[in-house]
Amino acid sequence: MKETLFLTKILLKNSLNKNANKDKLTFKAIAAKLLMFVAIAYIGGVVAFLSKELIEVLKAANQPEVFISLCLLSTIIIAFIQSILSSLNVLYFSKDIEFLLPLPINSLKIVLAKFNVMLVSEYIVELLTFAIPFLVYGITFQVSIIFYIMSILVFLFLPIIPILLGTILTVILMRFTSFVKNKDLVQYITVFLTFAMIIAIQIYSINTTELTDFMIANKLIQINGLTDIFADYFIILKHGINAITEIENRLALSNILYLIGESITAYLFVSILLSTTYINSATNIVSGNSKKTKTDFRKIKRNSTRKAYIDKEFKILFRNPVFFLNTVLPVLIIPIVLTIPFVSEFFSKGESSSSQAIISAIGENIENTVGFAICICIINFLYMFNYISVTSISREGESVAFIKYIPLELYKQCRYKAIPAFILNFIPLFFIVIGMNLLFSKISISFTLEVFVIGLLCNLFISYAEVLIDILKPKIHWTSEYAVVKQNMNMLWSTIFVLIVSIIILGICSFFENVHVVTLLISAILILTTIFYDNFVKLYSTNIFKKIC
Amino acid sequence: MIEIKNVSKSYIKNEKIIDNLNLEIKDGEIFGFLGPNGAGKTTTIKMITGILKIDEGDIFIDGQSITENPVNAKLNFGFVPDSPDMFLKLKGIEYLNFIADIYKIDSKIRKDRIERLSKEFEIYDNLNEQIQNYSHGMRQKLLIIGVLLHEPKNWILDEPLTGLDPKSAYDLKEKMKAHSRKGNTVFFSTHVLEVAEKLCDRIGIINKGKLLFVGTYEEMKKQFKDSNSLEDIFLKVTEE
Ligand SMILES: Nc1ncnc2c1ncn2[C@@H]1O[C@H](COP(=O)(O)OP(=O)(O)OP(=O)(O)O)[C@@H](O)[C@H]1O
Ligand SMILES: [Mg+2]
Repeated sequence: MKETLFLTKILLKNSLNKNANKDKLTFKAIAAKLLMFVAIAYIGGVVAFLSKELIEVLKAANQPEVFISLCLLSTIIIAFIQSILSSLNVLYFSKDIEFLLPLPINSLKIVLAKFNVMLVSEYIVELLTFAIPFLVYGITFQVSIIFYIMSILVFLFLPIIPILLGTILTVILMRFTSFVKNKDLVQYITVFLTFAMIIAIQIYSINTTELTDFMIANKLIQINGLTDIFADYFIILKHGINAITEIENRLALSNILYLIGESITAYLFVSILLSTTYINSATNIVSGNSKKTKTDFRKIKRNSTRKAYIDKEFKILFRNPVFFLNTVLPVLIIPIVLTIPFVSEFFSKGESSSSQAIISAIGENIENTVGFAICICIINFLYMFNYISVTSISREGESVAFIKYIPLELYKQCRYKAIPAFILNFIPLFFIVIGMNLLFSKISISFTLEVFVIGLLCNLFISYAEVLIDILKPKIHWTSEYAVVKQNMNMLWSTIFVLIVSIIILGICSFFENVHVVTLLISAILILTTIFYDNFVKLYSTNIFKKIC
Repeated sequence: MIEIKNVSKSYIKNEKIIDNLNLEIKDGEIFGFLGPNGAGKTTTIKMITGILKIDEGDIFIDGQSITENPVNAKLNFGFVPDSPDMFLKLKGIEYLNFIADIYKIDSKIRKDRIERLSKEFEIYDNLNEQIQNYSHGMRQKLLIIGVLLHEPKNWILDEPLTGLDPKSAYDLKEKMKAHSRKGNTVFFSTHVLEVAEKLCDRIGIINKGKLLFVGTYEEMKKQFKDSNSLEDIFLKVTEE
């Protein structure tokens, strides 16, 4: 027992990837924490607000308990889905298994500890999906202390069985399919599925915004009917619901005891069951493709140094799932996710609607310096999600010394490293320029061109300058790629940098009234700054690259 | 030829890791660089290859200063680092082709050399795999092939023999001999005293950033008369 808890603690610390120098309260550390806190508070606020709305709606329909059963149902579903994803990572793709297996710890304890890790991460998710809604519910109805006690017990025990089920599913998959053995592929697939889900939810939620309160209540009660059916098969859901809604009578007590008993039994039973299967299949994982094929020597041909170098950058970027998903994918996905509301708005309503009127009103008034500045800022905002340049040095990891000993000038490598980000930024750039013309049909060609030119110059400068951010403070000595893309302050700096560029452009625009003048002025500034920066890198390359070795 | 002139280096201020190092490795010479762990071998090699900035002094490779004329100096050597875990997501063949592009090797010549060298080092069949699937020794062989590919006059190798199987180690040693016989320079660090004794024309022993001895094995035996093996000498020299 003690050993299992100890192991759990170590694995948790490992998975949270705690920084070694955490007690140093530097400005950066505080800023990062503050940012984190604001983001969490924001999401928590949204959840609380939505809960409040739903509770009011259901209260009006006289069925407030429906809220509780819906919460529990979603908790179970979320725990199940999340456990499929996290069990893949925790059980199979985490590096610690290589260190754990040689230790004299029996496999049951390893499995138990790994379950605990998943459970703890589920509790963190539940804080949002369970704790906040229940708190809102409790405050709204001024419930008794027993309600809270029961809720906490359900909070703790309800996710156990769904997690076990998700894990069993994963283990079976890992045993009987071969594709899952390829770590990289699985990571690509899970992330794409997640995005597909987000987009689907977004489309669905847009279609429901038109519903009245009454219709929402009806819909919820309908879903609740499903919950009842589901509860018949999934007995823990019924126990959970009864434990909270029947606190007036004895039913609650027996139900919570059932829930706890079932969960603990299942937890122990599944752990024993898996302890042999899991260890066997965990040692079977390979990463990357291991297909042996013959080398095609005809494909070997000479390229220019520039092409060879940029090709290499792209290969490393696209073949590494962690890098690809965290630095490239946002550039591709965010424009799409952001435009879905506009697009469906555009198609779902006819010419007569009010939003159509707003759009055409904007379209008629966009060709001034304010509209121009807004267009540029939106483009820059999308560039923010491009983390390719700002991780271009850190991504190299221990191979980074290579930069220094090959006979290729450092400033040239610096330029080449900016190219991938520059190329991929064309996606948001074209997206906005084309989208702008589709949305507002009356935009002149000259305005379009001017937005494009400034967007292009911003892209060039931002992609290039962000390389310097990484050169000055690279994160090189990592063992897991996540160190580069998670908890990397450089990403924050790059965001701040793009913000500053945008604010300067906004400032310049606010002083003038002629778009052509503004375009000329900003182009001149951007071109000169880029040239100046390029020369700076060229002159001081040895000093700039000092940190890299 | 590699000339190290009055070179000092500290990672932390006033804590010299390399202290006023002077060394000249002549053409046609195999030079073995010995010293205990943490002596400063890798640091020295990193300065020769331009990876680390030199605090004081300068290093010349075939007369080209690594600080003043880095690109020309870098064209004159090939380097195998101590950890071969590089570019794991590239395939072996892609890495070699990339190196050939960087060193501007003609496509006909590179095809022949890649084919010949990879067969010699027995990784021909693995060239189409990603480097992450290579074993430690295979990764090292790939880096060595990368150096041999552009035929530099100076070879700089940081512990090149660790992890190689006996045959590959033998092949590499033979290659080093042949290379020096043609009037070229080989500079390598090692912990294997036997290799240093049999292979090297001259040996340097470094400890705590200071060069304790430079010379041939014969000179060394003369200087330390009461010791009868290189192991004895090494232990004695690096004792304090
Ligand atoms: N990046 C660094 N920052 C600070 N100190 C360093 C760094 N790299 C090396 N050192 C220190 O420099 C000294 C020399 O290290 P170096 O790697 O040159 O030793 P070495 O002779 O190559 O040893 P080994 O035989 O173990 O490879 C050591 O004391 C080490 O602690
Ligand atoms: Mg070393």
